[in-house]
Amino acid sequence: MSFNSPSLSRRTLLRMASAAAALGVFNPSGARTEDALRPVDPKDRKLLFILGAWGGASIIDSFMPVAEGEVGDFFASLGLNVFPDAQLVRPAQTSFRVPGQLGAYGIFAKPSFTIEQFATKHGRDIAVVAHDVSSVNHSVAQQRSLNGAGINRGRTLMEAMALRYGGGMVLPNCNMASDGYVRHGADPSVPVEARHELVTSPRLFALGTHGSRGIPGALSAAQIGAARAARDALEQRSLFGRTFADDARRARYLSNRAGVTAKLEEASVVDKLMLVDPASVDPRYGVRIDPLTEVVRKALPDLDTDHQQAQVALAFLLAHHGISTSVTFGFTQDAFVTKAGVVGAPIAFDFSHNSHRQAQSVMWARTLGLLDVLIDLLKTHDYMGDPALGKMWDRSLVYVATEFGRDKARPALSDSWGTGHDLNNGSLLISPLLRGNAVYGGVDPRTCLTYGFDPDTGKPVPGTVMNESDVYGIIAHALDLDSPSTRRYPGVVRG
Amino acid sequence: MRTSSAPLTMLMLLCACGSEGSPAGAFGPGGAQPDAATGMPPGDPDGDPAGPGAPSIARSTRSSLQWKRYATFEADVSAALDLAPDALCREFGEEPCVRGVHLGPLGGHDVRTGLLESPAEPLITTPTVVERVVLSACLARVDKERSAPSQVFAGLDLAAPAPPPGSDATNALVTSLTRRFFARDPSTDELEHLGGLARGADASAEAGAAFALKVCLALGSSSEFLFF
Repeated sequence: MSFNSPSLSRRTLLRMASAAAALGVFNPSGARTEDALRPVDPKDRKLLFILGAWGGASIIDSFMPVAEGEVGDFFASLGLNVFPDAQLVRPAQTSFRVPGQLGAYGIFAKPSFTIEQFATKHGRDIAVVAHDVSSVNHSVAQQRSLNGAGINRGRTLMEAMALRYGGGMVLPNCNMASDGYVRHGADPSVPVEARHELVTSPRLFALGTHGSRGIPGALSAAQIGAARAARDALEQRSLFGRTFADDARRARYLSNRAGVTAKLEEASVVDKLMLVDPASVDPRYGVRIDPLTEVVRKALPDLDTDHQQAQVALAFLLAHHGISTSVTFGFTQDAFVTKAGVVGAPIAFDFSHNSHRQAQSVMWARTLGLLDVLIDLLKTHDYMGDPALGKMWDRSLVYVATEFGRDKARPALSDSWGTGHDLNNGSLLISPLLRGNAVYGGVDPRTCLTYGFDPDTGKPVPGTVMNESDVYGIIAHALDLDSPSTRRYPGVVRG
Repeated sequence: MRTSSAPLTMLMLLCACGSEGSPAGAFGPGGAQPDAATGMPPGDPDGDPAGPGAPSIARSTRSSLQWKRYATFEADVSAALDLAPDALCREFGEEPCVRGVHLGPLGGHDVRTGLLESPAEPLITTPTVVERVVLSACLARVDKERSAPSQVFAGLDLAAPAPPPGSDATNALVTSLTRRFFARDPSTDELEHLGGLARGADASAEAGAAFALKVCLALGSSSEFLFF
């Protein structure tokens, strides 16, 4: 065919070739065909909840503590982060030991919820995984806690979840966390639909899913529809629209607006996710609240002022209503103060730099208190409100992601000291999909350093070093994610 | 980033061919001259959504439109509607939309909350949030007209029924808002489409305020306003 053929002009060929080249370099959807989101039957979906424990949640200050008497050298024990023997408790019917509450909390309010309470209640589903990490930089380590240090093509766990289960969901992957916990993965082939939707304000996020609800004096739905129709027609016909018809960013924006926005409004997502108490808002704003949200507000009575409670509330609703398959939330660097005192440390777990033991105790109590409410909600509600789909908890996994551990040493005889970042730590996973009520790995009482385990049997193996990719692999195995580079962990995962 | 070598090779070959030497060579075989009336390239043989009579437009083949993020978006809406930035939109009358509730979807960042970097791309909820902010701002402008009339709506009587589409008054409103949002005059097509919003679905006249709001929303939430 000649370039001057009337049926295939040179201009047409140029345009086709350039479009094909552009697709090869930068696919508007950013995905290979085989990586596009495919719908999954709700009965087969899984749910992942990640709490970003900002600042370094130390596992030897929670689920793998060392008793003074175990060190084997009294003088050495004085300089290690160990607990008096009498301070460690073994929650009923669990294989864990956890620290009891401290005698004094300094500037902090004494926590009203304890590690022991959490372990007693949820112990059968708790799996503690000892491992090292590869960075002591907050942001880098946060990212690696979610992407397994790049083990799965650089994809975060949340992106892998969205790719596996998010097809057909309007917001498969939502993220309310901060810093490195809100970084996308490094794989450019992940379609934008699988990347996380950032949530700045969980309490009012619902309003961002509707173009006019809650705006008093707004046009009627018909009038807004007419304005949109005129706008959309002109998008195609205007000089700007015709010139940039092939711009990928604009095309994606228009596609989202035409598709997802309509779905969000038609499904009344704004009502399902509205967390505000209608009684506290002027009736002219037309706030309506889903009956389920009333239940959530009772379970999290401070969500109007407690940012993390609002996050937990939204996370539950996003999952329950089948809007998201993965929700990430977590602490910021702000302190949280109530009438009782400081209940959330400034800079979260990183306040360990100033006051290690108190900060760890307060923040673990806060972390587990929040998760206790979430897990209770998951255990008592059917997925998408359908009894045939079973309780949400049956298909859920909660991962307490954190950057790193803390120094194992302390100034001799100190009850209050500061610690730096340490590569050695462990992670907390909670799920009925795991062989729970177990600690995978161990801790050397002479050094307080944790060590790993045999992935096939789950038995501790002194001297073994696991890392972020193992945590990623365990979660990928439990949730059946596409992660070809990670191994299986039959010693940790059920089934 | 993956590349596909075959289309690129074909593209390079096609660019190398057809070296008629005319700067308009890319616009058609033999380097056809641009349309004398519009300065635009001659008719597009593949059709044009603006209709067969519309001047042909060369599509940008290497475009990289940028997304107008929160601060610029806020400033531009504020300038377009002669409103202070903090008067544009507050959820429930209290929480600032742009720099608070919807900061992420509008491409913002805030070191205090740990949102250290602005999102690279518009989010899924960005289009909805843009509409909310624009609608709120347009409503704020309408409200302000009652106490301090301005020329934002070209003197349209917001309390009276909207004039008929195509009238001087409706054209003036469309022109005023197009200039304010796009810094250009509306095309004939745009005057017709947007002027038609003066009528409701049942062909009855909208209230002047509703007409102004519809045009304001249509223009302020368009991609031409949000991308550059």
